Amino acid sequence: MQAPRRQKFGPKWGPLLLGLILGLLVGSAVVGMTRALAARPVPIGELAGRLSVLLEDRDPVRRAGAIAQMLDRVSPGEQAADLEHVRTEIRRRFEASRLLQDGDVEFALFGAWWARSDPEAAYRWTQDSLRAGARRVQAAVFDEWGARDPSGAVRAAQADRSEGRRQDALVATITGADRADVSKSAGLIAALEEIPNRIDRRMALQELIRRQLRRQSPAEILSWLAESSVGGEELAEDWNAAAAVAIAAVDPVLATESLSALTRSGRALPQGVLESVASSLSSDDPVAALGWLATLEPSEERSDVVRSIYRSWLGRENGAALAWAAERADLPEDWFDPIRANYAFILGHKEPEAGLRLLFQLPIGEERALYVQQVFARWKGKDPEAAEVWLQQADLPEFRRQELRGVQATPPRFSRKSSS
Amino acid sequence: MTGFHPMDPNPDSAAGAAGKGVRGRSWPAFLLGVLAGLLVSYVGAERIFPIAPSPSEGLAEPGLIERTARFAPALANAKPADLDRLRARVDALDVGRQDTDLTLFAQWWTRFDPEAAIAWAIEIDERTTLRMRLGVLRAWARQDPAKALGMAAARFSMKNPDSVSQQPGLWMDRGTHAALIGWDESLIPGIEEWVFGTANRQDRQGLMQILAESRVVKMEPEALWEWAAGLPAPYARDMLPRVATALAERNPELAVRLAAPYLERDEFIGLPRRIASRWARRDPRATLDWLATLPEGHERVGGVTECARTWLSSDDRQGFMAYMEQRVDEFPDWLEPAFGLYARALTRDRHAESGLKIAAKIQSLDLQNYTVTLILRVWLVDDRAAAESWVEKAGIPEKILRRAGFRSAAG
Repeated sequence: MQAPRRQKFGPKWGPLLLGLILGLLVGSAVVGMTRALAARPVPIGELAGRLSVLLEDRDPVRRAGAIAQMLDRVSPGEQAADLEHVRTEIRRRFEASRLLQDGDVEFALFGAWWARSDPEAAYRWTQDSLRAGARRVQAAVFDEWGARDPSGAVRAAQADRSEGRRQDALVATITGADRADVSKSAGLIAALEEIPNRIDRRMALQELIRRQLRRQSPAEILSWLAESSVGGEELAEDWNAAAAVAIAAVDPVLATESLSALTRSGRALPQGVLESVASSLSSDDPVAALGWLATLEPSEERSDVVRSIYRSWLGRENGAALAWAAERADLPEDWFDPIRANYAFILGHKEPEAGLRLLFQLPIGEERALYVQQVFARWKGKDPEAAEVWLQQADLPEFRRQELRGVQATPPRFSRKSSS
Repeated sequence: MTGFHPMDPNPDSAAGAAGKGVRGRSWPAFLLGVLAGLLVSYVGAERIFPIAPSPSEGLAEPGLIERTARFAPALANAKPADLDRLRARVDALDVGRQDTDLTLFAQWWTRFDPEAAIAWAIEIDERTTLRMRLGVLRAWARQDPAKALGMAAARFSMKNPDSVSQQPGLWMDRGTHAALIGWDESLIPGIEEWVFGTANRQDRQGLMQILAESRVVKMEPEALWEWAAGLPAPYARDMLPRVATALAERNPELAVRLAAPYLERDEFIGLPRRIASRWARRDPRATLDWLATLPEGHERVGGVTECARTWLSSDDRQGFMAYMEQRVDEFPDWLEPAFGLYARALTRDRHAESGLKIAAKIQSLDLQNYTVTLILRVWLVDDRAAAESWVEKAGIPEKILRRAGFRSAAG
């Protein structure tokens, strides 16, 4: 007699395996179909209707994502006349959206999409419509325009009468050209060089170089500039200035060397370049920045920049800046005068006599007179007798002595502690 | 080909065994297998070929549309635990003038930690020329208006660094503006009570202006007008002109149509001036054509003055000068306020005598005296000798000359 089969407990591998295979097949098919449907190009004729639905989503992050996905999947296919009609309809739907405020992200997305096929019209829209007037919408239009026709975008940007909008448009154009890898195209460079407003032109060239610095070292940029034939003194000045300012952000020492070489060869620098480069160096090493300024030819601009850099250092690291100036206060260096004035004025708080002595080392001028007056007034308020003694003994012309005697004393300040 | 079938009747075959099991215990195993297969295929596809990249990957896309199409959906599903990783990527972006990615990120962050999000936004604002903080305040107010308005008041109103100065009559700072817009976008009730309950009238009017600007976007114009006109008396008086202003900025013809029944009602003073101030920015000729149809009076004078002033200070100053020059011979009385401004503009252009000739044609004595006084004042500074010589012959009243600083200056 055959022994009864023992009942097997445990997993039923056959059905499980079969189910697994079936599940995998069905699952893969469903996932594949869903993805194929999701990635299917959207016929342009359906776009307006579909966007209207998406514009109703109250979640701004999800809404922007869905709209961008939709715009990313549009298949053109229509003739130009139809396209114009479709764009007008889409524009109407965007502008009529009750959930969007003027200039919202969604307008930027639509502006970018429109600029792909008709950047001039998209740009006009940003100028004419309150809904699209925001900076980010204009930037989106010029970014796309710059990626496709950078020289056309540069020329169009100049039509704007607002300096801020014009410069924003130029930066966005260069951003677009850069991502499309056409930022060094001859057409773009020629268009930038033709910008009539020199401030705009320098700003645009600076942005171009700033972006180029991601691909090339500062030294490579400088040698590229040296090898390029730049027409005209003014244009060369602008290129050099733009390069120095852009390079200063990544290698301020190289930027200062480049500017020193230019000034040695007698090249002029546009206003503001010196300060910009010195500030970049000063943020890490103010002593080096001031040391570099000391090597340049004396000029009113150099004095202004020395003063500005030192004041900024005083604001950041007061103790270090004062100690550094104290060591040099008596050195007879002309470039140091703006610092001497600042230092002497501050020193005059605690030691008026020493502060005034230093101030009298400065060349006679408005700055010196003002500081002397203020230090003396404060001293007079604090210790009138000592101030008067000093005044009698000071080596001053009589009219100046009388003038200072007439200065109204500044009442001494009390700290919160002492006043309470 | 023999294959497995859950209902195979042969108990000895594998299929049959399973078929037997179907009636017994095989179905659960089969279904479990199917479910496991579905799960594996879905999870596997997501892992190996993810349909949406991570938010960080999305940010690597160079174009705005492609980047937003990948970044925003992934961001919408990201968790607070992803913050540090995402923030590092967002902070590393070189955004230039385009703040879309940062704005979306700030909106997402604000959902779960608005205080931290605004601190980050302020940092961004300080090292760029962007205004991220305003986006955060708006998003914050959508979920907690009281706190967002409190933050706006604390951080912005005190110093008021971002006053909305380009909008006449709207003195509110941008922070409060952003927060109020956010609140009005939300479904959180109480905004009207809060605005209308603000005790200080000037504050209240500023808030009303923001509310009007928010609602002109989100409501049908007719419904908005009806709402404003239907408010209790003191609020309707303040709100309706602000709605007119906001509406005129977008659809002036409609604003004119809706305002028409209210133009001669004493409680709604200044509607023509408000509409003209916005319409003139876009189409000053059409604005003047409309103003010409209004009845004579202060309201028309206010409207024409505002329109002319807006046109004159716009980029199209030459257009204004040409338009006025064309109408000098005709000299319609309703256009007199604009002729006053035209005469003064001629003086600024060093044509004081021409300006005075225009002023002499003005019929309204007050306006004529005022215009002549201002012209003489400017002329005296520009060319004293010429001004004095002209005055000697012209026989201008003593009072006007004194006001113009003439006699005292001339001795």
